[in-house]
Amino acid sequence: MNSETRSVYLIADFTVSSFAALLERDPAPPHLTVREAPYNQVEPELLALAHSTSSANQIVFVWTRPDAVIASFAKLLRGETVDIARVLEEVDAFCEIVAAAGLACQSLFIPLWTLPAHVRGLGLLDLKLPDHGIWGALAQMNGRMVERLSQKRNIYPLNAPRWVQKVGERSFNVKQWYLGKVLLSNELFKEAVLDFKAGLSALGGETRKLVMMDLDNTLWGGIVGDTGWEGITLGGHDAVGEAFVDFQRALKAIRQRGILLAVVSKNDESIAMEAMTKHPEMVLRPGDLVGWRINWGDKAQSILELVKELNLGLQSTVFIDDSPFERGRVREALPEVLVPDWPTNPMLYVKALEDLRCFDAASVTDEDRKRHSMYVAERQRDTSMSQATSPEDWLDTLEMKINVEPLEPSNISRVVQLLNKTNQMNLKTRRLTADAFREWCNGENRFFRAFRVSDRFGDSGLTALLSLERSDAEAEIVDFVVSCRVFKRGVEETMVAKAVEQCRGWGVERLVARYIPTAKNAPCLAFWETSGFERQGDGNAFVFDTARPYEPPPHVAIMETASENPGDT
Amino acid sequence: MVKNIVLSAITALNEELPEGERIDPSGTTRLIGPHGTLTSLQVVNLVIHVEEGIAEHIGTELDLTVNEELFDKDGPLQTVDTLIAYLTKAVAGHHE
Repeated sequence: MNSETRSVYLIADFTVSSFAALLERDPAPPHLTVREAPYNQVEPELLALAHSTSSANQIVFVWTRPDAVIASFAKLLRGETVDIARVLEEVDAFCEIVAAAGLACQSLFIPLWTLPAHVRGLGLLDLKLPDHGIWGALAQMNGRMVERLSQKRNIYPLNAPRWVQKVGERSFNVKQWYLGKVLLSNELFKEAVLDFKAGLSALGGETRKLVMMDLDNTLWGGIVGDTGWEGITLGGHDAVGEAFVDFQRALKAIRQRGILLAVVSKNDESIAMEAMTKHPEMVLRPGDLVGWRINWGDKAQSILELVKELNLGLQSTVFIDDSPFERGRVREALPEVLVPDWPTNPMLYVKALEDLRCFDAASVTDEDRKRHSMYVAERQRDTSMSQATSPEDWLDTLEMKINVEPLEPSNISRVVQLLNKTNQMNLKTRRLTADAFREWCNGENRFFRAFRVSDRFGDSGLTALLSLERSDAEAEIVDFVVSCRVFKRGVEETMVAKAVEQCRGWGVERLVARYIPTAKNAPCLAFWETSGFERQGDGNAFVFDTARPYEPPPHVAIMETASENPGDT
Repeated sequence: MVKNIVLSAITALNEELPEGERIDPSGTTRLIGPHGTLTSLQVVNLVIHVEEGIAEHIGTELDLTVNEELFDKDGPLQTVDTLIAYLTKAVAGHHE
């Protein structure tokens, strides 16, 4: 996990010093320092941010009262008749100011508007008279805010009404409001802290990507080895059986978001897989899993093997098991794995899963949605490799295609995700926001291409990045990033061939790759050591004379996609 | 019971405070006045926590925040012990 301390600028029109303190004191990463804007100066502060040139790295949190920033809504609260169209116009105007501030900062978080539960508006008629009702207007205002802001690249509306729902009547304390202009209680602030920090972790690329689950009393009730699949508790007209089905549905739902599922269980594999295949109410089938280890061995060892097989890190993994003994064992042996405490009552499993908050993501790309099928294809690829007579023969059978494409609005999310998450095959491990990366690519004497890889087993998606920068007679490889999913299949050589071709186009004679070592990018060094480049200087510089031939691998079919904006490099 | 409620309110308030500034829950700890460390907002938060705790666990609705003497520098918020004594009396008085 990232131990870096991040700075947050908190703008609000009520007292939020307790929220700031709770953010700073919360022990979970990321650690935050909070600076509070002057009290009740929301619009001037947002306007100042919008015109600031020094807030590009700023994380901003804007928390407002609906009646403080939307004057027509304040009139509604006072019982005046207001045209709802006028209210929404003011929401639009407020959102424009927020959006302008968002352009100038790294990310901006804004909770939706809430009201204390004792506000009943017009009672029975509150939702029936759209021009007069308080709650109806508030719902429309929040809907409008989401519509206006959710499409902005780095602005994240937060679901404050959910926090109020969770904390209940104690979300607000009117006495605190009158005594200290504190609108919301610490209990509600704590919910906000959890969601905000989960969001920041997601933006930092710290999303957990793999859930490993036990089977007996975790995915279903009972011991399948004792009762057979016909005897386990799953579905049916049974409260606990329904709870297990719902838990499996919740897991399947996070799989749709790109989170991988695997099983680690102490069981007889054939009996367990028979249950997963044959039970009529089983939601998760073997095809929903990227792997499993079902045996009588140590679960920590099984987790290690599976993580290695999937080429993921332990820090990407969550382990769910009903047994406190197994949880304790895995926590002790593999501290990087998230092992949540787990309720004893299966009816609380879905809630426990939702409360983890570790699956929040900054965006969901096509690659995320396809991640499961990519791993299944990878398994098939491994099988075919083990049956091939030589690595070269195997590569020839893959029918590999690589599409080379420029930076586009349609691929920037994935490009930046790959840039910021890739550790192993990463020449310099440069980390940049989408804006900063786009700006860099638009600079003079720079070249960028993304590589989309597929073969007969499936589409691996956008899995490699190459960027170059030219200076006089030399060009340097700035980013050389390859997802571990496509290592050693000719993608690296295709990228180098592309770089050499670009150098020739520029009339540049020397191509240089300068390797910056990290704790994790030794595989990148191993590639450059055998790349055909000449090792120079301190041993971390690799140089190629572009007059020499560098052919792309013969087993790869290369296609080029033109820019969506002709004229772009 | 009142003592536990006060200690629980101090624990809740300490969640906001940096490690070196947390309130020692022992009886002689000064809350406001000379050598007291709480800001006015923290005092309000402490009193609100206490009010909510008493309402929840004893079932007595006390309006502490409208009682100006509570906030006097020589008043019940001088120390943890004086606060507990004041609240115990207030709860008993409410039940008479």
